[in-house]
Amino acid sequence: MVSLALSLGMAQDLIRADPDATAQLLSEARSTAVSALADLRTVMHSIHPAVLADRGLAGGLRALALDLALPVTVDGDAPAALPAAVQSAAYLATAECLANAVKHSRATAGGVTLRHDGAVLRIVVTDNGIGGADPAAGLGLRGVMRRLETFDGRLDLDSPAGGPTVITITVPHGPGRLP
Amino acid sequence: MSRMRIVLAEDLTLLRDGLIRLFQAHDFEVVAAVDNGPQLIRDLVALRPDVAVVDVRLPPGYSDEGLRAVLAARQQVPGLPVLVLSQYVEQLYARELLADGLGGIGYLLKDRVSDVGQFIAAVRRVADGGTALDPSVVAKLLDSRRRPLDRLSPREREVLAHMAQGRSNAAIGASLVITERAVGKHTASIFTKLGLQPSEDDNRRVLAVLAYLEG
Repeated sequence: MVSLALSLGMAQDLIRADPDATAQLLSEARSTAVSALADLRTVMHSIHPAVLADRGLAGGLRALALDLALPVTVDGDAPAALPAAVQSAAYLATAECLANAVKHSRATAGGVTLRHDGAVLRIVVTDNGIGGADPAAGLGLRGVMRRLETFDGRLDLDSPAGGPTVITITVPHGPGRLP
Repeated sequence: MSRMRIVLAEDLTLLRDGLIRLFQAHDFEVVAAVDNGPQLIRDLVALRPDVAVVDVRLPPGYSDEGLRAVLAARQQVPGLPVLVLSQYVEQLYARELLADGLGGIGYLLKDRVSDVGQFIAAVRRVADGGTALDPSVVAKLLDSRRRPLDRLSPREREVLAHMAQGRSNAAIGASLVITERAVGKHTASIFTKLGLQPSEDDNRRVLAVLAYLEG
């Protein structure tokens, strides 16, 4: 933004004296603005993707699944009145599990199932890969677990060597709490 | 060429005014400029513009009202040409827009308006019943998980990516710096490898590619 303002300021100075240099500065300013927008978009998307607000958790996960380098089916639905913070935490947790599946599992297919009963939202993420996922091995899953704990949620991992991997994310969303 | 009639839906006043100026400067007639979803559906159906340029995110809900309004209007006016602008492009939305197979669809990142020449060309292409998909959507659509694409050569994949954006052979040739004839050979080979019916019509080419990617 600083360099954008600088380019525009210099262009303003030069506009009469040197039209060619002005055109060059304006073109630089434009590409700076476009790349700032791209950065901003990446950050915003990593915090709270717009599609979550548009389509809710299940819709957001369906959109995410389309972008993955692994065929993933998304089944079921989330409660309509899920608080945005819970929705976001559940989305990011699921996204992290799927990213791990793509990166490490050598799976050929994955699945996400959403179930809720008025008190608890349960998301089961599976893949048919090699298993052996270990939350101690990377920061990703531990970060996800910590974030879920903020909402009294939890993540249970079942990933025997040889697979398959089954991850269950549980988040209370109603007046009830987990036992 | 008679002036194209355009309906614009954008809730940010500054951007709306900027786009109105841009379209007027390029000889479009802005027949309506609205800032919300319900008004957009009414105007699209009542005014039947040559093309509409629509922000995905509109009041009252500031979610995907623009997209929903467009889909609703196209149910009443099949094939109504629409170019949707968004801060972030989703494959899911691209697929919803293209699902009726009638063409006349554009889906671009908002930033693309800063390249005025290309943006205006995209609006005209959509108005003519063609397709203008953002390169970032196309890149996702052509993702490597679609195994049969492995059969394509790197050059053919490049050509396919341009084709899916809605470009003609001449335009593809110009940006890859090869002759239009050479592009024709590549497209013929792509169609053969993917088992698609060859077609000269730009929009049908895009829809054929997308239908293939879906399958």
